[in-house]
Amino acid sequence: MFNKFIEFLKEKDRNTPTWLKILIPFLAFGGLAFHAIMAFITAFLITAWFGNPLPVFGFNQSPDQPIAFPHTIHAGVGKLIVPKTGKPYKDIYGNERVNDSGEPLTGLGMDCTYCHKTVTKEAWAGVPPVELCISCHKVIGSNESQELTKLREFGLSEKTKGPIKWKRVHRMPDHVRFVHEPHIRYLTSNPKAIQNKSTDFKILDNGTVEASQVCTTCHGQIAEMEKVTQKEPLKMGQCVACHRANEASIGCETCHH
Amino acid sequence: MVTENKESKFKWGMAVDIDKCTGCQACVLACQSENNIPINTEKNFKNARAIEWIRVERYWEGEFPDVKAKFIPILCQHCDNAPCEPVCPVYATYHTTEGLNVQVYNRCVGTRYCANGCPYLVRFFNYWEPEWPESLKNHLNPDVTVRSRGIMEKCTMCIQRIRRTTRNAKKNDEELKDGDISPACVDACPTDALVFGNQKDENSKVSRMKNDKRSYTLLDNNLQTSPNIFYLAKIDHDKKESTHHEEGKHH
Ligand code: HEC
Ligand code: HEC
Ligand code: HEC
Ligand code: HEC
Ligand code: HEC
Repeated sequence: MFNKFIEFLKEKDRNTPTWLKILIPFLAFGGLAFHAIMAFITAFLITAWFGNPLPVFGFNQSPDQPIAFPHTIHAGVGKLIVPKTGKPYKDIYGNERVNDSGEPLTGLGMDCTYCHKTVTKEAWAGVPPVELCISCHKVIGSNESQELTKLREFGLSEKTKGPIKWKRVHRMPDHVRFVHEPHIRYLTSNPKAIQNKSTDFKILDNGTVEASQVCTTCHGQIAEMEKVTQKEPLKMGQCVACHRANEASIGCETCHH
Repeated sequence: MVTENKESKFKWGMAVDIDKCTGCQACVLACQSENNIPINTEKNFKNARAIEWIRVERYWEGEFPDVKAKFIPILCQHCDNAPCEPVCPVYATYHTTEGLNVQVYNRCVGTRYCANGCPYLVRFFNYWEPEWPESLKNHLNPDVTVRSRGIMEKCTMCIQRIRRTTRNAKKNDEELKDGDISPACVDACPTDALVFGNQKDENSKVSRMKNDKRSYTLLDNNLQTSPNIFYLAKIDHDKKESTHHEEGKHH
């Protein structure tokens, strides 16, 4: 069979050496594969340059946290149902999020600043200490939940007590200085500059908005995220574009020193 | 190069009263820890590779036993007409609207032209990756970038403190007062020989010292750099005329 095939190749075109005839299909497929890989790498680099890299090879900007903390339950508003099916949300283990009577959970609509306390005062927003979680979760939530068991180990059990080592999601490179306070101050009093407004966005009577409403500009709809992901690229272009539009300083020393 | 910037309310400057300087090196140390400068070992000094954004130079006058010591703290002069700026091929060093000469570290490609152009020898090149002992790693200032190998660095007049103080004043709806902002070296000086302030404010301490009859600037007459650091000459009680004398010619 294979010999016949070789014979056939030899007959077909006598000028081309046989080994080359055999090699050609391999070269062709190799070339295709090579081009496919190159195209993939180029696409990866281009997206990484203009925004966030494609979510492959662990570049998905949402690391697994020690406790799968859902912003939906705490900061979201309304019933936690999937709009298409009307069924309750599923947590990362595939269990439906229902309360004790089997109804879909409703988001607590907590203010972002209840947990991220320093965001209106300091450069950093901060993540709450485990004591704050425990103030509610000492009693709230079933004992069967794996995540809450882990949380209580961090907060209550004498042996394993200690801070939770959350993983950073948003991280500026080392040569960039970012400060939350002036942004929250400016955006709360200038609601026009807020981007990606949430559905429950509303302006108060005195023309300002609550601090919780401005975070969407740079973080996307955190309140609707089971797991925090970086939605905005937060590259220099985005920062400077907004600084230009709002007459904030754009000298390099503002962000790099 | 900046002649006069009308946009900004501020033009930062520093005055150094040499008569008050005791050469104690507190400013050097304060600067070192504020600005994440790696520890200068003896070897670094011997190789002339030490990094000191501010240094204290010592001069002897007279013959033993009748000698006098004089100390001059030297830091970046933040020249209005800075020789380091036009030579940078990538604009990594430039003048802010508030009259500071700053270095954009991430822009820098390490040609070292600027350091060669600087007559005051106050620009430093990172020949190695900076290193700290394990126990000091948590002491780094988070408001200041750690400069990696191959990058030029220099005094910024503690821009992180300037920005933080102006920001906090804005947050609390207050006006900035003279003396609110102080770089680390000024903070540390036990004799108040160093004074920092806004030159556009006529009544600020630095403006008054700048207009003092003892005031002079380093190498300015020869090089026309117009520095923003003003030195107040030492008062020598043994000499009759105690005003402006030989000071400028020490270099
Ligand atoms: C204001 C009170 C409150 C605070 C503070 C609070 N939570 Fe919750 N949390 C709740 C409620 C209510 C639920 C829904 C519980 C239920 O019925 O299953 C919940 C649910 C959860 C769940 C999901 C449990 C499951 O079954 O999947 C996790 C995980 C969780 N919280 C972690 C935390 C962590 C971590 C903190 C601290 C950063 C925290 N919570 C702070 C009220 C709170
Ligand atoms: C119950 C407390 C709680 C509330 C309320 C809360 N958060 Fe969080 N947030 C956390 C905790 C705990 C983490 C760390 C775990 C994680 O990254 O998932 C976190 C993480 C984040 C992060 C990612 C931090 C990083 O590492 O980059 C962002 C952004 C954030 N929250 C924004 C918000 C916004 C916006 C709101 C209001 C809509 C909000 N949070 C409300 C507790 C809270
Ligand atoms: C102007 C854009 C912007 C806005 C508005 C903004 N953030 Fe951030 N946030 C960032 C950036 C950039 C980082 C990364 C900071 C870094 O790495 O130094 C960050 C980091 C964080 C972090 C994690 C690290 C930290 O600083 O503790 C939390 C939590 C956070 N933001 C919460 C919030 C909350 C809550 C709000 C709304 C009140 C908010 N942010 C509004 C840009 C923004
Ligand atoms: C939505 C618009 C917006 C975006 C996006 C934004 N900024 Fe700003 N930023 C402002 C405004 C407005 C101010 C001036 C606030 C004031 O002082 O009134 C400011 C101020 C600052 C300051 C403080 C300057 C000072 O006085 O010390 C820093 C630092 C800063 N921004 C860095 C960043 C960085 C880094 C990013 C990108 C991750 C960014 N900003 C994205 C609007 C924005
Ligand atoms: C509003 C804040 C802001 C200002 C003003 C700003 N930058 Fe940036 N810059 C950033 C941020 C944020 C990044 C990081 C982007 C990223 O994550 O890739 C960055 C990155 C850079 C980088 C890329 C470094 C690298 O390793 O990829 C260079 C170079 C740079 N900036 C130079 C400048 C220069 C020069 C100026 C003055 C003309 C300037 N920047 C002004 C926010 C700023």
